Amino acid sequence: MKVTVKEWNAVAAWRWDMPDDDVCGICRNPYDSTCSKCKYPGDDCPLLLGECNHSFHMVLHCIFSWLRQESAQEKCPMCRQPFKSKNQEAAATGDSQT
Amino acid sequence: MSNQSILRITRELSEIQRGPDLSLAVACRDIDVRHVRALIIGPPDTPYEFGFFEFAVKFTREYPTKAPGVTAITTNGGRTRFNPNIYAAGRVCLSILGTWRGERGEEWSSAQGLESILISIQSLMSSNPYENEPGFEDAKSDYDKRNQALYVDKIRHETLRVSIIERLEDYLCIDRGRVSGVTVYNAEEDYQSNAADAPFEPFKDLCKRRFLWYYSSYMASVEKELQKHKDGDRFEKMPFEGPGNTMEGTFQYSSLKERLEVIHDQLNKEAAGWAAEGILAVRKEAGIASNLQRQFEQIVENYKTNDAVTLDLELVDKNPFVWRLMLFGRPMTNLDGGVFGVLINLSPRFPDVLPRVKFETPIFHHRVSPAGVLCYDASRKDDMKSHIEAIIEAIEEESPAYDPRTLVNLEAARLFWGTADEKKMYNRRLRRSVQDSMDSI
Repeated sequence: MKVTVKEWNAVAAWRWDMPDDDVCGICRNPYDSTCSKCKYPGDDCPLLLGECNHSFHMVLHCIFSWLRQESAQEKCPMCRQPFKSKNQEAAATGDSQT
Repeated sequence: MSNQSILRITRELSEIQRGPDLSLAVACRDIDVRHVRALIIGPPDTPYEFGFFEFAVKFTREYPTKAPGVTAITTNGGRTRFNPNIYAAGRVCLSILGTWRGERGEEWSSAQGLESILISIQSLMSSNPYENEPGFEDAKSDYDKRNQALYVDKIRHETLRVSIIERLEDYLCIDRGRVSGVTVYNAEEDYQSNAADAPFEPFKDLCKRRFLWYYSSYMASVEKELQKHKDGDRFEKMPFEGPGNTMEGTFQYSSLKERLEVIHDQLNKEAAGWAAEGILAVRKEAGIASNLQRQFEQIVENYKTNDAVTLDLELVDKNPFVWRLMLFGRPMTNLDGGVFGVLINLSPRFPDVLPRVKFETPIFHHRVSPAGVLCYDASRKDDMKSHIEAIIEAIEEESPAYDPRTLVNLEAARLFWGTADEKKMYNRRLRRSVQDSMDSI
């Protein structure tokens, strides 16, 4: 018997390359979900990984709204080391598996 | 519009409420999650032991970027400073709250939260709070040592008097002589507490139940302190205490003892009174009456087919608000052969008011107070099956983790977690109470 594929739809799932039960230390939502202000997870609400290996939801809401204030002194809210992004590019685009 | 801070507060509240920590409780009115009430139960082996300390926590829209505001409520009406860092006016000095200059790395961060704040406050309530005062951390002169002991002494007294006794007296409308008026019937008070303008008292039932757990601890502490402090002796003033921010008063342990007894008595009467209220509810065909009746029938049906547990459950006088559980000791355990009657009184306000559970058959067990009150915690508060399961688990648990907040029988706990010989003694005394339970049938 010969089967001809006329049409096919690919379905993919993605998740951040993060431990399953881990949550963002600021909004306490899972990394795979969004921060409390965003609608869609993923590239719309990317993660930012710090050099200290603590990650947070990035865009404006979690880590940025913390770092924006003066009293934060640009330190990681978890370990209070100076917060430096580990890999800007990876955080913004990659790190997600398809 | 949903707000980031509300989602996080809601999440934190439910996590603390579901969590296993018996010494923290939080609540808020449904309409307002930004104003949270928190209760911290004083840590064992400190002068704050099993006291009820309440705090108001106010979250702003900027939470968690900014710390919430925390105010102590248990301050004897603004007259008593319970700790060098918890002022009479309610101010809580804590570096993570930004109310105290902190070392680097001690300030607020958005990764902090309600639970970490409460644990920090709880850690202020130490066995030697004198050294919390800045400048007194290393104070070890004879003068300081004497002060440290005197400070602990007066805190212990005021914890009992203010945080426990007066709180419970207010709940139960027990006249202290200060307020004129008659003792109001409880149902009235319960009715009023539903009104919108009523003061927010979310921890009433919790404190009542805990009082029953820790009653013998309170009494033991009073008995011990009675030997040390004559009635009428004045509290010593601490060098860091100033006008309007101090802890003044006199030792009155004899009267505290009487007041504890009155409260204990009233609480027992309250639970017994639910039976009559319940019969009324049955007659009026109230929803709660049929709800409990149905739960009872389902549980009985359920245990008929469950061979793992042998028990007998019945309604006393066919009243769905008074249950009697006959528990048969599991074979091959310490309880083997025992038959224990457990009386469960249910309130018409169930599940806002949780059942009172009491062993009618005497048992020597670290989870059962000398008065028979069982210390247990049901996971689903509104489900009586969960309560029955938790009761059985509390009594059968073979190797419980050491948690001083569950030790309601001091003597039994001391032996259970003591030396090997003491553990043997515990088992012997438990076995003896099991033996006696058979004879009493």
